[in-house]
Amino acid sequence: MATSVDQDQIPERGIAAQLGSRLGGKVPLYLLLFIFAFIALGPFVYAALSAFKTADKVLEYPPSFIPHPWTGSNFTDLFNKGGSDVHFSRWLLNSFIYAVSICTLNVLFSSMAAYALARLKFFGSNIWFVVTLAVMMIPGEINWISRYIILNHFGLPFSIFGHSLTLNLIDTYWAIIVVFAAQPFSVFLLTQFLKGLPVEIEEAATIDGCSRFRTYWQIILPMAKPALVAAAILSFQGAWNNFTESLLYLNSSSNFPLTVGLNFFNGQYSSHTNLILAGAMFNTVPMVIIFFVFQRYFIQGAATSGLGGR
Amino acid sequence: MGMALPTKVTEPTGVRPPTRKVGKRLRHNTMAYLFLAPYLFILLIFTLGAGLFGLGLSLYHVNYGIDTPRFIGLDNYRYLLDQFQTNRDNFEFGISIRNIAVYALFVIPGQTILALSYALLLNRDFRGRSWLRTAIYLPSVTSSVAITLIFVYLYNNGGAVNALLSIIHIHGPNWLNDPATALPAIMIQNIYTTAPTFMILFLAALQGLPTPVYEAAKMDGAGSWALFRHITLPLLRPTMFLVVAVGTIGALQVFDQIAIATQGGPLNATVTPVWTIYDTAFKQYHYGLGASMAVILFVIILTVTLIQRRFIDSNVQF
Repeated sequence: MATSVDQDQIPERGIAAQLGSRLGGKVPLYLLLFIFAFIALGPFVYAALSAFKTADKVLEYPPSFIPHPWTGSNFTDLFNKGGSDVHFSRWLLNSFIYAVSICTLNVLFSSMAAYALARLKFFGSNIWFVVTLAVMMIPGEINWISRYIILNHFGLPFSIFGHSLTLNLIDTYWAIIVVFAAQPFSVFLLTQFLKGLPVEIEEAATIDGCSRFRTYWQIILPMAKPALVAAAILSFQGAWNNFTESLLYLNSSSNFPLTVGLNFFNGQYSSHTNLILAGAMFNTVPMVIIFFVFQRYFIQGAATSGLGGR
Repeated sequence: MGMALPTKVTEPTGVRPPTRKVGKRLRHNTMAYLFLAPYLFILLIFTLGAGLFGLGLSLYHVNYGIDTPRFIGLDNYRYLLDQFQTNRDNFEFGISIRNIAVYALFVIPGQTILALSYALLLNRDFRGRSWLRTAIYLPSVTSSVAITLIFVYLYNNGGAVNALLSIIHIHGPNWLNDPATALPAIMIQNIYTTAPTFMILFLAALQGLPTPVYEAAKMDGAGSWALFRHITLPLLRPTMFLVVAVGTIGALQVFDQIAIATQGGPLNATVTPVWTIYDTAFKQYHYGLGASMAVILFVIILTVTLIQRRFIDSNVQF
């Protein structure tokens, strides 16, 4: 946030005077900018630096901003410290598995639904779109308990085929994946986008004898790429950061994603502040990198709903 | 699913026999429902079905895994209502509702004002603007767990917050372990993490404001405060209402921060309705009672939203 002055434009007279007159009204602005940047980044930068502190220095008072001495061992200790119920590398792997599978399934299923809702005039198309909108307003916790019981007796719907096939999805990867495999917000986002696309290309394809599925796969999906990327990014973020459902529906430490694992670790080893901070970085940094690369999709998603970053 | 279709048979056009048309419509509808099937399967079971199931569950005494569920009518609600009246000081759900009212009262204005300040600042022209926007948005992309763990560290008795306060000679409290400061500490953290999302909405609205109006007002000699007070603020009204409405729904449901940082403590200072639902159902296994609390919270959220809508201009869309 350096106050920039183009070198070649500075004439002979005193640089300070020049700076003063040029910045004139801008000094309060830059002061405000500094304060806001400090508020926004301060906690992250400080926590990131503290993740490099040794166990006895991290809780030292008064705290020092810069680690002294620097140590990288917190990041490696995470993988081999703690009791037998701490599976840090597994949590990290699980988070990737949850995020990638939820993101993939959600983009596939939501875009299929959106194609039907936006393009095929069929019996009930308006009803399902309105239901999708309404469902986005329902607070999640109303479904927590019943979802738990449903997941615990999943397969009940199939008992009509003569076999009562009850399988318990609680404490399996499926409990988390199935609940988020087709999200109303993604359906809404994609439907809105598809409604705005021109129909001519599709009509031409239909006349040429292209099947509905091929139209969806080879014509609609490539045209919907920006919205698909936005839906993918937002559902990846939601899954990577998910805490509540993973807390409710998973019991075994080896099935935890990193978020619930970190919370568990914090509960068991709350004095290992240096390790907790290093662990939080493993959760934060991948998301920050994705955010830097795909910034505009995040912003677009947040602007679409205002429900984005809950 | 695609079978029960009262097909709308339109007037036979004479080109094709009606039976072929019905068959075509049926095929078309079946095709559409095949595309919808995975989404509807999940929606019907885990959202709509679960919602109705939850409503039904609130009429049962369910001690999951211990007793068989028993239908008790409205007894769960009667119990909660009775506890509200007779056990004011120790009834967790009652305390949680009082806590959340205080919480909403501070967090909603706090996040709206901070979001608007961020947006007004970022709407100005300066070097490094997109860089600062990225920085400010960061808290919104990180997980509640990581942010909360970072704040637990900052709020520590000998942590960074108290160290900063000591510079101006204030002896900071033990934030999250003191009943007087635990809830305010959570509030501050929440304002910090939610404001960036709402900033995006304000920023989008600010960038759509009509420049000629401002130019005309400047010609008439309006100062920057007058411009803000009499032009910007009124034009931002719809966005303001949207932010308040969405912010209210979010504030009434705070859970993650509580579960991670305080577990409702100290001395029930940070119990919230959603935390109490979790505690009742998933820690004490009273699923029916938990479900009835969820229904009550849903009704509270719905009522507050509808009351707000009455005050909202009709041109606000969600």
